[in-house]
Amino acid sequence: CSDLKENPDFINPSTFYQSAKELELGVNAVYDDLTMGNGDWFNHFYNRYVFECLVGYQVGWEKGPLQYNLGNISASDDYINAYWQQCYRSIDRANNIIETADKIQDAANADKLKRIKAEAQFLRGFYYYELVRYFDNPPLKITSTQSYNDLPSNDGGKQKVLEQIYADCSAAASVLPASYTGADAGRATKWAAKTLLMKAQLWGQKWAEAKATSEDIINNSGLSLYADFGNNFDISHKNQGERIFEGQASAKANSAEYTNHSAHFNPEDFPSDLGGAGWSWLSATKDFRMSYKSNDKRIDATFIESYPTGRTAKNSKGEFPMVKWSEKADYNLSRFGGLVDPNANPNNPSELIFSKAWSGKLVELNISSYTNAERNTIYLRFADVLLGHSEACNESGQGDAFASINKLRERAGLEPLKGLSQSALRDAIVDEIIHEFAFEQVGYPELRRKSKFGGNPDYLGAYIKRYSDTYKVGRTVKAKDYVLPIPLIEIQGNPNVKQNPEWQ
Amino acid sequence: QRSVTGKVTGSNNETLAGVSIFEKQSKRGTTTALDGTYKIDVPANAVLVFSFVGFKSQEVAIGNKTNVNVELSVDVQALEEVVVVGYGQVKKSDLTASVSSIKGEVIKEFPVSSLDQALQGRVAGVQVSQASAAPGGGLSVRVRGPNSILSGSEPLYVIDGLPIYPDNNALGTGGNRQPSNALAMLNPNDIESIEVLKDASGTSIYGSRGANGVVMITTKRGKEGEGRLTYDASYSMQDIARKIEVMRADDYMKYINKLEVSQGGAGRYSTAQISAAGAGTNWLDAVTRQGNIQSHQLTFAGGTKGMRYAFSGNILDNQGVVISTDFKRYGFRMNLDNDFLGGKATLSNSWSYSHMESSNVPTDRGGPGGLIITALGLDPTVSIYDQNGNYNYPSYDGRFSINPVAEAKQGYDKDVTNRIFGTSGVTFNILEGLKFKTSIGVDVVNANRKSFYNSFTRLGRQNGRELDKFNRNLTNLLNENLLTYTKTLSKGHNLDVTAGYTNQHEVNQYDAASSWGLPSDDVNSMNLQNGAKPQTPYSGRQEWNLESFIGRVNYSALDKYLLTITVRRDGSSKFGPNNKWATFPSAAIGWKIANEEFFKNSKISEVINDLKLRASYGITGNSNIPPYQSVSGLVPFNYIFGGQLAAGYGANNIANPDLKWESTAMLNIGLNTRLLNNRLDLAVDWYNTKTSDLLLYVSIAQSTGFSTVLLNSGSLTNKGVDFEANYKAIDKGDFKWDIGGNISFVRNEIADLGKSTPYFASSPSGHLGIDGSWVEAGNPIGVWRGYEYAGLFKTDAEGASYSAKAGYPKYTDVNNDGAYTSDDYKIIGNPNPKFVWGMNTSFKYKNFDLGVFFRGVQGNQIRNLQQSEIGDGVQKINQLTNILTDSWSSENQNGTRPVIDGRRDFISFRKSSFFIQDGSFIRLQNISLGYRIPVNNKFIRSARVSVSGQNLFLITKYKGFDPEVNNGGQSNLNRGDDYDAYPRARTITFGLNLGF
Repeated sequence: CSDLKENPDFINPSTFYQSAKELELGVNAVYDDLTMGNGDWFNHFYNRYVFECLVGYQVGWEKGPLQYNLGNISASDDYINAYWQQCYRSIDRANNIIETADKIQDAANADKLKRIKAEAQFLRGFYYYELVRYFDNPPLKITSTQSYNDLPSNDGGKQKVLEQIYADCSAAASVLPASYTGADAGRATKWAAKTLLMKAQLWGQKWAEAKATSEDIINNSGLSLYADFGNNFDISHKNQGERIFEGQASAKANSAEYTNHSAHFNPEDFPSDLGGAGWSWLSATKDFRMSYKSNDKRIDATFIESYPTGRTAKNSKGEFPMVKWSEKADYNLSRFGGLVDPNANPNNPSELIFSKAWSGKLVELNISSYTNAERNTIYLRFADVLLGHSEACNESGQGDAFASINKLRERAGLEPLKGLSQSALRDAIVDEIIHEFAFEQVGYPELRRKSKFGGNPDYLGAYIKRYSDTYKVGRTVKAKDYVLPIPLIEIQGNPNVKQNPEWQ
Repeated sequence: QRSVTGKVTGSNNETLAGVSIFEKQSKRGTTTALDGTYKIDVPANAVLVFSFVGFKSQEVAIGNKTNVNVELSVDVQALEEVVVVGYGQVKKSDLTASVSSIKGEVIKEFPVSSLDQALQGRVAGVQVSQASAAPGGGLSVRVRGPNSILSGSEPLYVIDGLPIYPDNNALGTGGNRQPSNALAMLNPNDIESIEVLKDASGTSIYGSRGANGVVMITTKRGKEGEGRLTYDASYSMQDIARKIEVMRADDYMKYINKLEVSQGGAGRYSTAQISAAGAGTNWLDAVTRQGNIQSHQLTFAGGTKGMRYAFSGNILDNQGVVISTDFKRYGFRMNLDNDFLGGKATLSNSWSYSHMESSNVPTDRGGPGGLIITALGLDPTVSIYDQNGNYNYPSYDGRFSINPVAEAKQGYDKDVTNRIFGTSGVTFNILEGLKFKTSIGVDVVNANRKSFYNSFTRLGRQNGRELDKFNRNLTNLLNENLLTYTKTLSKGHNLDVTAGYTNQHEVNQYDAASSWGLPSDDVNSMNLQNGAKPQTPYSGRQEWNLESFIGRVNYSALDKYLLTITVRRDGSSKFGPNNKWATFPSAAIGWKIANEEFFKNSKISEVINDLKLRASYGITGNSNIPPYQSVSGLVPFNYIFGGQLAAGYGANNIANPDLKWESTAMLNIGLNTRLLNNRLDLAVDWYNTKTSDLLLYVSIAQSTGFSTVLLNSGSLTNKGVDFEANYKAIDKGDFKWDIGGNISFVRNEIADLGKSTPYFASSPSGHLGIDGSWVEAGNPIGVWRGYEYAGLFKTDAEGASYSAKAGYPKYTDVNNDGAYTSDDYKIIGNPNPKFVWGMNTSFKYKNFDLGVFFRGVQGNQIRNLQQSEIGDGVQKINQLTNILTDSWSSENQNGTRPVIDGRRDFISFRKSSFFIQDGSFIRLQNISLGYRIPVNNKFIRSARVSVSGQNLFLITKYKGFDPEVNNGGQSNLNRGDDYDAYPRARTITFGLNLGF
């Protein structure tokens, strides 16, 4: 009966895509999960900072971060589920766009159509890289889902996924423009595709290819480092220079397009009258903050060195007193450990000290509410290329392995490295990654990439042990710490997927 | 031939007008006048027969008397004779279905804002739970257990023939709280009777909407006779029945000191400060008050030959026990019946209009900022106002500054709802026994909300003030065409056939807009365009069609054997293109054993006055899912490029063209009997229900790009017994004593989940970081899964591998790996009761009447999430009064609560069985005393005054405000969670009824 046919209040996908114009709306949604996709509180980057807590140096005193700090993870973990879901829904959207682009006849906008397809290919590669770096063997699916029975397999393991990333990045790099202007700023560029390609090559230990890709970028992109390290994270340098690819946020453009990083990383005692969030509870340990050389110029942008506190009484001017980071302040892992003493004299600067390592890269203290956040989420920057280049040279034994890393050290005000053995330089590169990219949530995957449980080197094991010993957490390093489990729902719902061996 | 005169009265000495009187031989007769008098000419030695509907007929031999006064006695059987069922009515003795009835007088015993509240404890097999105890708050009703996991499981309400599904969310206005009751528009005082159809024989005529039971509501109609005006009024006073006690300021300071010390700091408060602090602020007292309910109703009803009318108007005004919460209803009803075409046709109208207003505060929610949880947990050392009379803003858990008094008084959150609903129909008596009825029904809802958070509120400060508006418009149109045919085939063989076609169409549209950054705190002066930061508006349209063919045959033979066959074929727009139509059949048989000769002749008939056996089997459906679920669409997923909003579109789900109905097969076997000289009435029903093709958002491998898909997957069962009894203990002239009771048992089990993996329902509170209900085959719906609390660690060494110390909570380590992960979860609680019951008794002596009504729930559990915050001994929020005395410490090794320690992980504690508590209770729902004032007045016909108390006492072990809590609203999952619940009231009511 005809009046039983539905007329839904949403768009019919089978008739919507007519030209490049509609396809662009489709690819825009593939980017959405780079920030607060679908308004998810446990969004893509948030889940990565929960995973990062597994290493131990970045801490939180409850929920997921605490459980990761303790090494208590299971295959039914909420954060793993959310992350897996976000990656694959974006991959499915990308698959759809890639397939649809091939069907659309829009000769007048042929170039735009090609560009959109290339963006989708880059993003598919990006999300697969995000999966491989935590899960090793994600199932590979490169066609859009038509039915719930369309179930991919992970038979090919990591290798097959990496090859797909190489293919997608190479295809995207051959089409995408070197840069965008105006209303397109923030879309994937040729150099983003090549940087991702290089990172995937490092993961696949294709040292020669990684060396070639990084040199292509270093020589031909025209990219260079900012003199000021902090420009990588501020609002005035969005999508410029050294910053190669980032998740876009702007509460000014639309109040739904904020990020919740500030909500989590703001100092706990930052007064809510000034925009304190109420959820702020993630930080790094005092020990990690102390691992920076005191002359490292990256400290200012990496950490919050001082801020007004609501924990003590107000000062004689009736203001919230400013507290300063100091190694003299007590520290423990609990919620108020490392904060200013609530009974500190609000007029005596020497008592107004704290020792928690609050993130300066992620927070915005001057925005009156965390929902006004404007900062982008940095995913790829030129420093990735430089450190990748040094690593590729060092591992392949070809080229100058010191030149690129020393560019970063020079900007940080640190002495250049020279004359190190291959393994000593490997150690130095890992150390540089951790300090250059602190709070950018790459530590766990990078450490585990270079480590083997019970092996040598075992950077990840050393970090976990140091954390546990320093703060008497009682945690022992185990094989399961070296890769995240494939979500139980995937294992139960998809007979084609096998759990990672460490988790079987 | 001579004249006989006299007067006919009823048992209460009231005069009866319209009593038919005829002479037995000649059949000539008359009727009594308005004052009950009659005059008839009769031959000598005549016998007069007096008969009147609802009374036993009486024959009187006149002899040589000229004046004969007659008192007719009430025919109990006749009064209960007719029961309303779907698309018709049947004599109760001929009923083959399982049906419970409630009379209108019962509903009037104490003030309720909606009729579903009145069902509580009255009907076997029906469980009513309150989603919010706020004025006008939502309820959830289950008839014989939940027959679905995800689909709406409220019964279908059929009000004078108009089917309404009471989805509180779909009729509500959103906002930061539980939606109001979707049935609050119906004034309970207008109800003549309620019938609850429980088995398939009763419900399958409602086909795809019958699986959850059907509540038939009949409103009061006029009867032929002089117009009568009735005034009913009541005034109630309400107080919080049970308070939750949290610490005074001085104890709170001691607690905070312990926390600070545990974290390696010094105590925050000095001994001098503590001894000066005293009791401090009781925030719960500060946000609560004495509430009240006022109810007024005027009813005017009567009729002439060929025209019957009933009008009513009512006002209900409930000021809740929490400040700034109230609910008002202004209702008007008109029921009008006109005969025309010389009595060959009747036009019936049943129309109602209601206007409802409510004022609300955030309660009954999972997130932070709820008024009740904030009041309980807020720092008691800070006063409400500072010395200049401005609000203080103490910090909740050091996380956000808030003042619950400011939230309640300065926050503005008001709903206005207008609703018109009713039916008009014409019935034509085509031939003898053949009738045709055609009707239209309409339900129009217009609801809107305005919320404003000024700069004294938390949201207002965060967003530079906030103004929100929500509008909803719903139109539901129904057309029904019904043919009925009644025929006596041969002596003792009766046939009753119903056939019909119906079509229903609903459009539910809503839009919402919100603006931040407003310049003024005055709500009345603010419009959306005043906001500097308008937010993205949203809107939607939910539309569906339902087309149906219905048929029913009732056949009775020799007044012993009964057969009912029912079928409905439904076509719904909501289902997949491959499965739009489905058929729902049922059959039932009844055997009136008491009418068998062998029974009548046996001795047993001296004890058992009546006995009937019933059996029914049938299939009903459930289509209470949102529309558009079988198709895939593109919805906005916006992003930013170049600092500007860029529209993006992505898929919302995977299409499933095979999507179809859930179907519920129910077997019911029942017995009705009357014993002890018809004084004890018993009904027992046993049933076994299996729902297959459950509509589930099956969690699927997320590598598909989707985490769930709506599939027909799995099945569940409900098995149970309903028992109802009524006993007329004493019926002696002036003194009457009745006792009634019901008890129902139901066992629910998810038999299998089909393609779905076991899963946690979405968390009721991301803020608390806990999981929702656990859904897995072999368990009842709604169980909780988490750590099993196993006492406290005695030593640091014992807890070492668990990162725990002495005094920390210990859980069962299921996989013995020396760590607590989700692999150690067990089923830790079940919110489903073992049984629910109700018992009432009434005494009448002369003009006095006394009623007592108890009800209870046994064997259910509650997850006291509120205590997991105000009783965890970790967070910097105020705690239960026993936290200092009962917590473990090295000096108090026998402490029953974990050590007060700011380093302790409280999230795993919150996920443990420590907070699962017994929710069983016995409640004195109502006790009332009434007095009928003797009146002898030209204007006043009758007068009654009463005083009653509701919820005067409660027996329970539960530690929250009240064991009847349900944060999950009408959902079958996440039931029995207690967090931020609106406190339940204890009520004293004074009532007055006047008849004119």
